[in-house]
Amino acid sequence: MESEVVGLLGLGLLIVMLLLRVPIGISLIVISFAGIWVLIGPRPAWGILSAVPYEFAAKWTLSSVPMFLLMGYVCYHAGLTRGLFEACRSWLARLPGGLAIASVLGSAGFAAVTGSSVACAAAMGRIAVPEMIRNRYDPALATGTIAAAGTLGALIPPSILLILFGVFAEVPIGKLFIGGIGAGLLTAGLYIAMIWIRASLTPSLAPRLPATPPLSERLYHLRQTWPILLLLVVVIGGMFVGLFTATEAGAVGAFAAILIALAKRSLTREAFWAALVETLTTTGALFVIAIGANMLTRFLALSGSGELIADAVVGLQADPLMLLLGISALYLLLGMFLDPIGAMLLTLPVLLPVLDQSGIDLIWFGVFLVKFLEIGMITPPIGLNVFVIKGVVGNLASLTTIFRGILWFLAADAVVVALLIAVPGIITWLPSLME
Amino acid sequence: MTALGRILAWLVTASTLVGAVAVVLMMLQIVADVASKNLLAWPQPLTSIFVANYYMVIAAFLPLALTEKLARHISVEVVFRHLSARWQAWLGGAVCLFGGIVAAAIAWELWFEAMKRARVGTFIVEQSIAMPIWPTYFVLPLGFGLLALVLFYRVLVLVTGLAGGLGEAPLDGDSLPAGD
Repeated sequence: MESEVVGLLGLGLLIVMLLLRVPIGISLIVISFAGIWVLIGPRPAWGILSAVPYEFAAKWTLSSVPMFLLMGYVCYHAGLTRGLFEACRSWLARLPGGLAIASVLGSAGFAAVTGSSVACAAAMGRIAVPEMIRNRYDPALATGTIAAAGTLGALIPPSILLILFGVFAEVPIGKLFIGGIGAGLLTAGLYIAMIWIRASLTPSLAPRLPATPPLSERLYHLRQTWPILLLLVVVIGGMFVGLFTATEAGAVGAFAAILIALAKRSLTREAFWAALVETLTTTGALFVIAIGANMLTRFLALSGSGELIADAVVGLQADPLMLLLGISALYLLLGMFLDPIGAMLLTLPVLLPVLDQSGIDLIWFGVFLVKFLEIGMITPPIGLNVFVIKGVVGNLASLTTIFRGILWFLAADAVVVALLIAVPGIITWLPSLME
Repeated sequence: MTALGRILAWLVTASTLVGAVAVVLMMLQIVADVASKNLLAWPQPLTSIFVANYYMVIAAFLPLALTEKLARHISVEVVFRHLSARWQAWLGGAVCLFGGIVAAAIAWELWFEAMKRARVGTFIVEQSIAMPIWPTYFVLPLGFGLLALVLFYRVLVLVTGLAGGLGEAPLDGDSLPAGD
């Protein structure tokens, strides 16, 4: 059998295994191992199986994954992020759709201390959705806002997806992080503009709040956000001025979060243990997939089918814009069914050779890819953020209502994606300053 | 069955504790290194070896069983969620059995690798200090082996219908995604 055929058959079997609900990591390892066995024999196959897991995990750059996870979970379990929404609300409540706008800004703030959009949606959903519903906001707008704004979690640094992309594509994680800021702020800005316009045109969607709280109260709420602002300055600032690398930033951030939580007396033993357990389970789930994806890269390289696909794609469309649109369609589709980490790690082994040949800037592409994966978090039928919001709000809104609310944000996302393609500098300008 | 579950639960808790200690030590050592680099212009020796070869290996592989116990490994649910409860149990059990066999095979292979590393005494030299790293190779077979045990245990509970003592999350439990 031709080696390319073995590669393509392997990919087909992989899809079957995934649909049978075999865990993604196990599926990747089994298919890659079997494929390498067929291609070059049992000894190299066992050799790769015994070498890859250790070689892959024992990496300095990857230590930022558990560290950033720990920072986010400590912030969440110790309640450091609680003041964010209150502060945004007290300052913005009088605007049209003010509570929804406050939620978007609160999520952007939360995103700066967590690398996960699910954590972001869950945390904000618990506080902001009941508040909006109580003020007679349209349930579709209230829930849609939180589900969509949660996606900022993976776009605004830190971001677990960007770390993994950096490791696989061999590009600096610090630059990816800084590049994510532009795309994240653009997304937040367009979400806010869209809410403002809709609430101005149809005031019944978001009735204005009766009165603005007095200045003293607003200042009090603003002061309550100091833990997050301090963390933001420490992590992003320290990274930007070169006190520490993006890899070290995770540990510094986690340490700072623990110190701040201790100073606030909000870090109980239970909260710290919960943060550690979540850090460990997420790390475990993630690494087994990443190791499988690393083995798949080797299998596809050996079979030559990765290059075959790359050649076919590049030969098909010389125009990078068409290529990007094709990749966008692929991720939109994958994002509808797959967890973003799974979707990214499954496709990078095939996609990276294509990108290499087409000369697309990998920093730009990494952020662009994460934007797409995050859109997948809010598209039906499997929108994980939507399920999280549904879990948080219970009977306040049906799944259909939440998806209906999200449609407007998807329209805003379409504008974001178009702008990112038309003006790549939105992503690449800030990283270019780091040189 | 309950006793077996309890023993497994104890092993999983022990592995979680070791993993948690590794995560905390990783954080402290990186912070100490950053502080000493910036304040004293003197990087702590061996930091990258401790972080990459010790803490990372422990944090990545020891929690595999805990992750399975809490049903947090990531799978594609798109077909599974449309099956009847009976089919879900069948398919879920078959996948656990398959996953268990794979994890056991990986553990087996990695055990021999670890023994080989122990025999030759694998080490890394940094700043003329030879740091042994062979003991860390044993973490991998331990992690995958414990994962295999939890998966086989799930199959046993499904087949015999007996009450377990592991306190595991159900197979069809809504697992949250990882760290996207």
